[in-house]
Amino acid sequence: MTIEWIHPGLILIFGALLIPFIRNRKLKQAYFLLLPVIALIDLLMMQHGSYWNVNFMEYELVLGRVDRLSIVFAYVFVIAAICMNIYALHLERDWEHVSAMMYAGAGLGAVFAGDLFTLYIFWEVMAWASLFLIWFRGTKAAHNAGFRYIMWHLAGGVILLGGIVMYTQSTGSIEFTSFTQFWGTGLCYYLILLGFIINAAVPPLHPWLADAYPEATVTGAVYMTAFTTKSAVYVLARGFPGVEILMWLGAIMAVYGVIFAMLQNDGRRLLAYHIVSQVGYMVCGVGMGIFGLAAGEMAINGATAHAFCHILYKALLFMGMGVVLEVTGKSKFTELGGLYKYMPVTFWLYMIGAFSISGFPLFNGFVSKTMTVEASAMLHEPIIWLLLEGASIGTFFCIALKLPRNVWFGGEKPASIEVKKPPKNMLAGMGLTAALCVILGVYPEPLYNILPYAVEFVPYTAGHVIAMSQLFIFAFIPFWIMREKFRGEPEIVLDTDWFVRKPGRWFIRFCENTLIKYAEFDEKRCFIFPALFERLSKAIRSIQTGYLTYYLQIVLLIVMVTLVLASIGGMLL
Amino acid sequence: MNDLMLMLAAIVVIVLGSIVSVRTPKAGLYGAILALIIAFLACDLPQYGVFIFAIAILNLASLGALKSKIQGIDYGLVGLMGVVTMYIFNTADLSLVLASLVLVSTPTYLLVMIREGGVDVEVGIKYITFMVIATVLFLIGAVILATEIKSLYILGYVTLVIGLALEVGIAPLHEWVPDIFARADPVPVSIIASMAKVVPFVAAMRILYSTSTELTAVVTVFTAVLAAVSMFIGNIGALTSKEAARVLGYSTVANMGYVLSCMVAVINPEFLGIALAGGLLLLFSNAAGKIGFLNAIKGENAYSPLMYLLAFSFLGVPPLLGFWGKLFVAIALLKVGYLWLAAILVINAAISIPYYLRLAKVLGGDWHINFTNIIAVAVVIFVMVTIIPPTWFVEAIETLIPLLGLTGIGG
Repeated sequence: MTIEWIHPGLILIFGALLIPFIRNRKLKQAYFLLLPVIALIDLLMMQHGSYWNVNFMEYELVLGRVDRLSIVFAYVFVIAAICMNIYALHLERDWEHVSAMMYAGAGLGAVFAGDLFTLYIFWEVMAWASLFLIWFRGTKAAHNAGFRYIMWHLAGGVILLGGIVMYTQSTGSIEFTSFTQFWGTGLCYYLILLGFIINAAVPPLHPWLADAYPEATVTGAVYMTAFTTKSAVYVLARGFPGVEILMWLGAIMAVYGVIFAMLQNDGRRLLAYHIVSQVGYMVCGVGMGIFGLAAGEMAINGATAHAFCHILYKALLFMGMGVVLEVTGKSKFTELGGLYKYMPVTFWLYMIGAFSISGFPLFNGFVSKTMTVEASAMLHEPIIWLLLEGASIGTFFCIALKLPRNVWFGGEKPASIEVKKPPKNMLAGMGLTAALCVILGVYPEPLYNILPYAVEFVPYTAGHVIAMSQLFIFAFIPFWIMREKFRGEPEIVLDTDWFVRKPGRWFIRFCENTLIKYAEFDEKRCFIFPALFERLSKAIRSIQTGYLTYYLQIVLLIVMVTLVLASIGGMLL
Repeated sequence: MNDLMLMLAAIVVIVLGSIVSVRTPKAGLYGAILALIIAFLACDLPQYGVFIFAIAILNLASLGALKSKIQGIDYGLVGLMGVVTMYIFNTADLSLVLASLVLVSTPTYLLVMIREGGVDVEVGIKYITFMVIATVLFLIGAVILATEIKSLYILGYVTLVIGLALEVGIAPLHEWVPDIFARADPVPVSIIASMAKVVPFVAAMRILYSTSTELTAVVTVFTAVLAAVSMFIGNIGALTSKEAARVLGYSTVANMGYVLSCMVAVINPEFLGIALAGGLLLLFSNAAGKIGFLNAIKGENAYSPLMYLLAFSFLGVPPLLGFWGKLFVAIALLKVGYLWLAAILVINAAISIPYYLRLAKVLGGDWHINFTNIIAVAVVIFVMVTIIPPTWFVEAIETLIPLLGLTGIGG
């Protein structure tokens, strides 16, 4: 018997469970690196098709739907996992490795899921596995942020499950296909979309991301950048391509993330807001992905390619900031500065990520972002085009200028921080990721070849290059003039998570003051017979003498009387 | 018979787990979980089974907070209760239904005595005395009803309902409830207040439904009065009680009154489905709330928003689980013509506001990551699943109504 298909997600999930049992440290590290490599080989050998169809009750579960859309996401998940595992190799907490691999595996599971039930299962595993990447940080802030994080995802999961149940009830099918043609015909589609966009961090449902990622462990945050939001982009592209509201949400998201990023003082929180912004480009691309139009196909290609590139460069950026946090213990701009002398390699590798995310020519952001922007132009959506281009400037501003200036330059290193030497594997992980960013930027054909639709897009035309370069020049000049204004501010900027934190406190206050006061008032004055109630209550409690014989007397008396009455009644009727 | 074989396999797994657990206590836990999974697979009604499964897992988890002398075996006992509770709708055989009642009741005799590092015999004697009387009355009532002799019908009905009242603690036969709640360890009490309540009600409902005659409409008034008395005594008794555990005891008395009121629907099978669904949802919300509150009494530092949410579920604030239970029961009562009982149910929901809020205030505190809060979060998620209206649950129960009748009756 030949095995026609092996689920790469399950390789990671079940493979991860063995990590704690390997005693030899070298062997353990080798195994940890090998896991995603095996998954990659598995992917390379895969043919398109539908595998592992399991009958469950009267439904058919499809664990492996391999097609052009799912395989792109699977590739980048596995490639990112390889880079990230190198970066995380020095860790000694086995269980952090386990949860990271289970998280990545669940991401793959969600991508290959051909039905909604399988998708839901992996969706939940993803939420729980990633929770531990936050909690392993061990700080109080991390505990609290993790709690809020899981509450968001549980709420999203419940909404998604509700949508799935209603969808199954109304259509009798659990197949996960495009819902675009049924959009607006039932509550279930809204619920499913809502569940999806919570994971995609679409404002105002994004606070979990900016709240939790900066509190995660150094390596955990790197993993988290890749899987949750991008699997959400995948399910949106699969389920809701061409739904117009997504186009607007995505464009607003792209700008929203940038604006809030500018206000941040914590390096990793700034980067987290840029995830919101960048995922905005993808969501927007999905929203423009109208089936059958050339522009729609280009938009879907753009969203997919951008997800691919984004995972790489965002991981690289988080890795860079993670190294800073690892060696100094700080990530706030007000506590950092002047580190270039101590860690130049980290700086330059970080800058490759920064150029990529800004969409510099020759870096991978350029070859993917321009596709989405071009699609908006082809669809004649000038407002969308403007929002997306505007967000590009802001991105360059924050990530390539503000953050490096506050961390690596901007005067002397504060005396209070001690700089250790960064672990070699972290730099190696960054190096590999950076190399991929540059290679895909210079030579995008391998990426273009695996996109869902045939690509006729040429990124390196004079027009694209000149347009991008102009944007950067005009962003750089004002920054340089106002560079002193862009120091961080020490206070926390509350975003829409204010709506979650504050009402939490209000809820308690409402219960403790208003409700309890009302209840006491109610009890003392408003009950019609307060004295009677009190006397009755005392009488009821006075039966409880605690003596068994006394209780038995009551009970037997009641039983005897009722049974006698019942017998008489039975004979009479 | 395939499902019966699976159930027996589940019980065998529990027994094996319990035997091994004498050496390694965790084996009992794994055995119980495995058995529950097997039982869930065999359960005819997954929509019902999933609730029982969740309650059983919560009960097993909360046992982790208790260092008992029989650790390992206690997991097995809870697992057995869960397995039997899931089985109750599978069978149509009267003798198996009665056997289920005994199988759910007996493990609690042992569980109630457990406390930290020892046993509390006095609590055990009080509880077992009541339970034995209750079970005997229930069985006698069932047997009398099963003979289908017309002149004995009312006697059988009343005997069975009194047995049920003693078993679950319905006033005025509730004397054991506040005492046991205040005296025994909160963890076993939470099991008695949650898992042990489902089977007696379902068994009674099925027997009363299968044996109903033209006299049922007359004698049902007895059940309705008993339910009303229980609601009032439970809620008023709780109002001035000081100890949190005792308040919960009275709250159980009141809640059992709510559930008992759904029994009147046997007079009109058309609305039996919604009544049974409402009663079951009330039992589930009562179970969740009791597990959450009693664990907060056991451990400390429960997070106050969670406690308030549990209180809200008890009060019947939409869209929490408790709301739907009360709503469906009230609808069923109105449909079968018991307007006064529905009104009393609503009045009692209002009376109970002060003490539930006070309870939440006393037990709540700041957020800490601890065992109590993990259980509390799980329980709150449980009561919040009904954000999506549980009409699916009613539909599932309604498909069951034609199969509710029992064989082995008459002759």
